[in-house]
Amino acid sequence: MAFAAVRRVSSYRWIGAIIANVALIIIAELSLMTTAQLPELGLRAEALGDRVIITQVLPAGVAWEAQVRPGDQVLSVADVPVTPADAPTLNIAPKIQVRSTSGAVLTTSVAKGLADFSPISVWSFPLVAVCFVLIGMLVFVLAADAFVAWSVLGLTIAMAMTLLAARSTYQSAQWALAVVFAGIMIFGLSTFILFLIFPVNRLRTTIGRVTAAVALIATLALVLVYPWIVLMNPALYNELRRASSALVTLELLGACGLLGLTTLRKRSRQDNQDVLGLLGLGMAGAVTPFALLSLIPIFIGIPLLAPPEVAILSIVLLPLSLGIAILHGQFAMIEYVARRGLVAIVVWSTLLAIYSVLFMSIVRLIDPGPDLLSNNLWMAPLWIAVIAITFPIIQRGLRHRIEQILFHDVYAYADTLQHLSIAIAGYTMVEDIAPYVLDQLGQKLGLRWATLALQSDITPPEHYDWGERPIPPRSDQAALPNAAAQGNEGYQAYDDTMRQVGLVAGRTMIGMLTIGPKRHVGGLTSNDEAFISTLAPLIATALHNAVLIRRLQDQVAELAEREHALAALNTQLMQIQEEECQRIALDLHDDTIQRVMLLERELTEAEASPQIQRWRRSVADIVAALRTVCAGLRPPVLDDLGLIAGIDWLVNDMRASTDLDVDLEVVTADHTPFGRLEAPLEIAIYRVAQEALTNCRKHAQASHIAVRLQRDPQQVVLRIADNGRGFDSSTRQEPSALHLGILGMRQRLRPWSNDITLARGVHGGMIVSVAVALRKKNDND
Amino acid sequence: MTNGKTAIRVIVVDDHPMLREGTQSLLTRSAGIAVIGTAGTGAEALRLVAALRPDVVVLDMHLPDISGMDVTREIRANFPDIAILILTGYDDTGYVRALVPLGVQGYLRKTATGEEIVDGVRAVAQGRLALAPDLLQLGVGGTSVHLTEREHEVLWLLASCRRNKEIAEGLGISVKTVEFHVSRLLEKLGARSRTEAIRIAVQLGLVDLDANHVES
Repeated sequence: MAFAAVRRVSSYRWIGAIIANVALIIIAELSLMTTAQLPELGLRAEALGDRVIITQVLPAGVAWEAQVRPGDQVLSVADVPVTPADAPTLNIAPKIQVRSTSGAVLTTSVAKGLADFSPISVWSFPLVAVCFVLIGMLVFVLAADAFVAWSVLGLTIAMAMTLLAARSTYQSAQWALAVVFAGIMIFGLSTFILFLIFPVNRLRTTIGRVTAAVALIATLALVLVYPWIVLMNPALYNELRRASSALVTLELLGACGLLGLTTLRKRSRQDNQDVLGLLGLGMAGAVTPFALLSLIPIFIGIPLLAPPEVAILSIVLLPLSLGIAILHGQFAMIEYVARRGLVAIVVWSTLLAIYSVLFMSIVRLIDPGPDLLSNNLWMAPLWIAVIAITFPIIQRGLRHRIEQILFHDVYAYADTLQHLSIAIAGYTMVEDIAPYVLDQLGQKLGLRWATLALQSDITPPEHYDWGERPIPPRSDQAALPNAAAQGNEGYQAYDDTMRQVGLVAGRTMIGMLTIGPKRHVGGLTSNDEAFISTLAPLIATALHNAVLIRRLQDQVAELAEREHALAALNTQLMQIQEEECQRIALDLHDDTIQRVMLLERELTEAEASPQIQRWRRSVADIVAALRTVCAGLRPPVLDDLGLIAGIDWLVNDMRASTDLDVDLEVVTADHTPFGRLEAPLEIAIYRVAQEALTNCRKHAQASHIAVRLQRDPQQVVLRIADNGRGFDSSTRQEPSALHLGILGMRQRLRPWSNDITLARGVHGGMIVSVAVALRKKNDND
Repeated sequence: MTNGKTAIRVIVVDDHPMLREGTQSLLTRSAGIAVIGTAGTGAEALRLVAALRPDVVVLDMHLPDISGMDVTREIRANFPDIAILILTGYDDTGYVRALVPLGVQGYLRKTATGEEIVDGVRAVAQGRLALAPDLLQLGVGGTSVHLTEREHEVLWLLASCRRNKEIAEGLGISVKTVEFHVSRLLEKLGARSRTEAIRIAVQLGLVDLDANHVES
C-alpha cells in the first residue's frame, strides 16, 4: 500500500469502486435470497420408461460433490423408491440415492451441505468480507500507484465476493459457484500482481511483465472457459478445477515468495518504508493462512486443514498491521491520510447500506413472493444505473462536507480555482493581490506559511508574508531522495519542505511564490501542485498588471500634482492680474479721471473763449479715453451692477470697436431678474466671455456673434457662437492661440467648473459653451 | 420735501476730496441750498444721513467701502423721503437703468456744469427728475436722441465707413476716445453694430448720407 503519496481518487477509480460495490451489493442480496429458498442438489433428471436417470449435474454442486454424475440412475427419493413422476422435482429433494455407472450406490442430501455450513460462518464470512472491503477501499483511495490500487481492490473485492457467495454454494446455487470461482481466480491474480508491484515494482523488468502477463492470460482463459465447461461439458470440470487451483496456488506462493524476497533484500529505506513493509507483512500474514488452509484444499479436493470460518479469522492481522502503522508516531501523514480514507469509507459504506436497504425494500414492495431473485433480476441493471448516476455526486458532496468540517485544507479544485481567478482579476493593486493570494493559498492548502517576493526590473523589491515562517528561513534545498521510488512523477514535492514557483508574466520573471509545508502533513498533494501551477501564471499576470497600473497611477498622480500646482500658480497669477487691473482702473478712476473731470468742469465754467473751448473738448476726450481704458481693464459696472451689465458693456465695446454684429440674449427661468452671482464667479465668467469674444475677433473672421447668457436654478450657461471659419482640426489653424484661449478659460473657471466645450456650429463657425453649476444661492438681491 | 422758503439741506458724498470740495463750494454758493455735511465713505454717508436727515444726498457712485448702489438702497429703505442725486464719473447707461427703479431722482455726470448740478439739486428736492439730457431717453424711455457734439462728429465719420483708427486720426483724438464715443452712440441709438447704428441714424435723420462720401 503505497502511502508514499496521497492523491485524490480519479474518476476512473470511482467507476471501479462503484462497480465493485454494486457487485458486492448484488452478491450479498443474492446470497441472502438464496438462503431463503429451498436448498438444491444441483442436478436434473429425466424419466426413461420407469427409470429415472440423472441428465445433468451442476459442477461443484451438492450432488457433484457426492460424486453423482450424469447417467446415474436414481433409486430413491427421501428413502422412498423413485417414481418417474419425481423426475422434475428431484433437484429440490432433501435426499436422493443413486446408482452410479460404476455400480456404486451413492447418497446425496442437502443436509450434508447444510451441515457443512457452520453457524460460525453466518457472521464470520460477512464480517471478514466487510473487513476486506474496508481495507481494499482504504488502500484504493490512498494508493498513489494505480496498479497497486487496482490490484488491492481486485484482491479484496474478490475475497469479499467469494466470502459473501460462499454460503450459497452449499445450496448448489449456480451463480454462487460461478462467483466463488471467479473470486478465487481474481484473488490469486490480484495478490500475485500486488506483490509483483509492491513494495518493489518488478513490472519494470521484462521477467516481471512476462510473468504478470502469463498469470493474467491464464486467469482470463480459465474464467472464460468456466461457463462453457459448466454448461456444455461438465465432464471436464475436474480438470478445470485442478488447473485453477494450481494457478491460484502458484500465484499465492509466488506472491509470498516475492514478499519474502523484498523483505530479505537489504535496503536503506526510510521509516515509512518500514511501515509499508509492516503493512505488507500484515497483508500476507492475513491472507496466506486462509488461502493455504481453506481455499486450496477446497480446490484440490482434499479435506480442509481447518474450517474456513476459523481460518479466515487470520484476516484480522490486516487491520492490526494497519493500526500499528497508524499508531507509529512519526507518521502523522499516514494518520492524516487514514483519517481521510476513513471518511471516504464511512461515507461509502453508509451510502451503500442505504442503497441496499432501498433496493431490498423496492424489490419486496414490487414482488413479495418467495422467488425474489429470478423474478427481479432484471432490476439489477436499472439499479446499477441508478447507483452509478447518483453515487458519485452524493458521495462527493458528503465527503467534501465532512472533510471540510474535520480538516481545514480541503478545497474543491475547479471551484476554488475559478473563484480565486475571478477574485484576483478583480483586484488592481499589488497590495491587495499579494496578501489575498497568500491568504487564500495558505488557507485552502492548509499551509504553515507562504511568501511572495516581487522583484524585477519593473518592480521595486517587495515582500509579502503569510503565516509563521521559521526563522531563519530555510534556503531552497535539493530534493531529498525520492521516497516514491515506484515513480509517479510530481509527488516528490512531498519531501520538500517548501516549494518555489516563479511568477512569470509576459516572459518576465516578476517574482517568486514560496509555499511552505502544510500545517498538518508534510507536503503538497498532486492536486495542490496542479492548483499552484495553474494559479501561478494568473497571479503573475495580475501582479504584473497591478505593477503597471501602479506605475501608471504614480505617473498620473505626479502629473496631476504638477498640473494642480501649475493651475494653482496660474490661478494666483490670474488673481494678481485681476487685482492689478482693478488697482490700475481704480487709480485712474479715483484720481486721474476725477481730476480731469474737475478740470473739465472748471473749463466749462470759465470764460468761453475758443481756446478754452478747444481745451475743454480735449479734456473731455481725455476723460472719454481714460474711461475706456478703465473699463477695459475692469468695467465698474461689473462690480456695481453685476455680470449682465458687465457682459453688456463687453458686447457694446465689441460693437463699438469692430464691425461685428453682436447679439446679447439673456435668458432666465420665468423671466426673473438675472441677479448677482458671487463676485469672483462673475469676474471669471466675464473674463471667459471677454476671452471668447477676443478669439472671435482675432481668429474667427466672423461677421456675427451671438452671446447668450442663461440662468437656471441649477446653473449658469454662457454660450458664444460666431459664424466664422470655425476651427478645423485637420488644418489646425492657429492652434496655439485658440488652444491657449481655451486653456485660459478653463483656468479661469477651474474653481467652479471644467465644463467648457468647443463645438462646431451647424452652419459653420464655432460655439464656446460654458456651464457653471450653482452650488448655493448666490444672489445678492 | 421742502419749499423754497427754507434752504435745501444737502449732504455731499464723494470719495475724491477735490471734487467733494468743488461740489460743496458750488452748492454753498447757490441760493437756497445749504450743505450740512460731507462724507468720503459710504458708511460715513449713511451715518450722516441718519443723524442729519437731509433733504437731498448728492452721491458719488464710487466709494471706497460701500458702493453708491448700496448706499442708495440703504437710504431708500430707511428714509424714503430723502431725495438722491447721483453725481458720478460713471456714465454707463446700465447705472441709469439700475438706479432709476431704485427711486433715484437725479443722475448727473461730474462733467456736468455747475449750473446743471445746482438745478439738479433743486429739481430733486422738489420731487422732479434731474437726468443728464442724453441719458434721459435711456432712463425713462424718451424718444428723442440727444447726441453730443463729439458724438455727432464721430457718427458723421462713422457713416462714411471709417474705421475707429481713421476716425481718431480725423478728429485728432485717441482710438480709445473714439471707441468710447462709438459705444455711446450705439447705446443711444440702440444699435447692435456700427452698420446698424448708421442705418438708424439715417432713419432718424441724424446724418445725411447724401452729404457724405459713402463708400460701399
